[in-house]
Amino acid sequence: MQVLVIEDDEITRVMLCGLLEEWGYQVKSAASGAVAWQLLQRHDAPRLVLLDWELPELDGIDLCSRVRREENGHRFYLIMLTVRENTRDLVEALEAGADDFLAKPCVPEVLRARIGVGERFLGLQDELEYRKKFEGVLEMAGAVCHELNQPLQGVLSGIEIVQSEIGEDDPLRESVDLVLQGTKRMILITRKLMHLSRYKSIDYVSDGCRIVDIDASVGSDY
Amino acid sequence: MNEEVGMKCTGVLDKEELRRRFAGREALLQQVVEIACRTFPEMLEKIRREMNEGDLAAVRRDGHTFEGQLKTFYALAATERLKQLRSAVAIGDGGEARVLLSLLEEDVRRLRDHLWKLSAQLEVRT
Repeated sequence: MQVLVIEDDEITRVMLCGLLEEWGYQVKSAASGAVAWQLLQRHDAPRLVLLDWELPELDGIDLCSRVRREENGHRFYLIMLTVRENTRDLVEALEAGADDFLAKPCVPEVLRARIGVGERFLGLQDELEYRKKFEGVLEMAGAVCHELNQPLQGVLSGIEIVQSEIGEDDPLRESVDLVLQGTKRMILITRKLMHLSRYKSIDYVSDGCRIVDIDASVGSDY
Repeated sequence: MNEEVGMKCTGVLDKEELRRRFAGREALLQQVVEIACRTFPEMLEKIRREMNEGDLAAVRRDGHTFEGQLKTFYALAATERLKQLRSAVAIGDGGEARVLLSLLEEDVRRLRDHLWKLSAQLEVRT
């Protein structure tokens, strides 16, 4: 996971970067609020951010507010670092959009634990986003199936009439049977999809891609 | 939050606490010690210049940064002196602030001596 360290003090910056690298994080750093803001606007910006309160050009409080105002779905976890220790400062940082507040100098064990909290938070956030997205896709699939159901019923009736009208030895018989089978299969799939309430997914052929296993999902026994 | 800082000692530098916090990270400690020895005199010079120019906002800002740096090394005496200096600046007592700055320079000189010794010891080990 990537972490962005925003700190103008070289001593603290080197120390934080050293610790984070030791713990296996990929670390980026910025020595001013303005440079950090440029980095945070990139699509591949680190989402876990340690930032100092006092920064040149754009301070930590303004940076938190700006990130929250413009994050637009790309959720960041912001940990404010400062030598300030009073309750008013803590409240100001949290109200500006910081998720956590850590006194300097950082105790390595405490820093590591707080970073871990941030990582868990972002993981849950990602899972929630994924579920929301998937639910949206399923809802859309349900609506499409609902729209397809009626024309498919029409096709089915038509094919059944054709099948009853032609003899067993008719050269079109095999094709009509195939169309009939296919139509029935499509009707079954659309009905299952419309009644899915909880889904199960399976690996698809391509790398890392997963698809809904319609037959194994809840509600598919319609 | 103060308990995290753990500066209960008095004196120039709490080496024991510093070593405990950096246990197993001697190379990193040496790196920050070298930066401190290089940048502390520059910071003091900057604060003195800002005071001479009457730029109290800059003194407050740099004083804040410097306090964070001193706390990193558990340098209690210098940290306390800097707090007094910042208070004097906050109430606009220039005479008191100048005296405190001279004392702070002396505290930091002693701190650097200790840091150099620590760095030499770390170099032998790493």
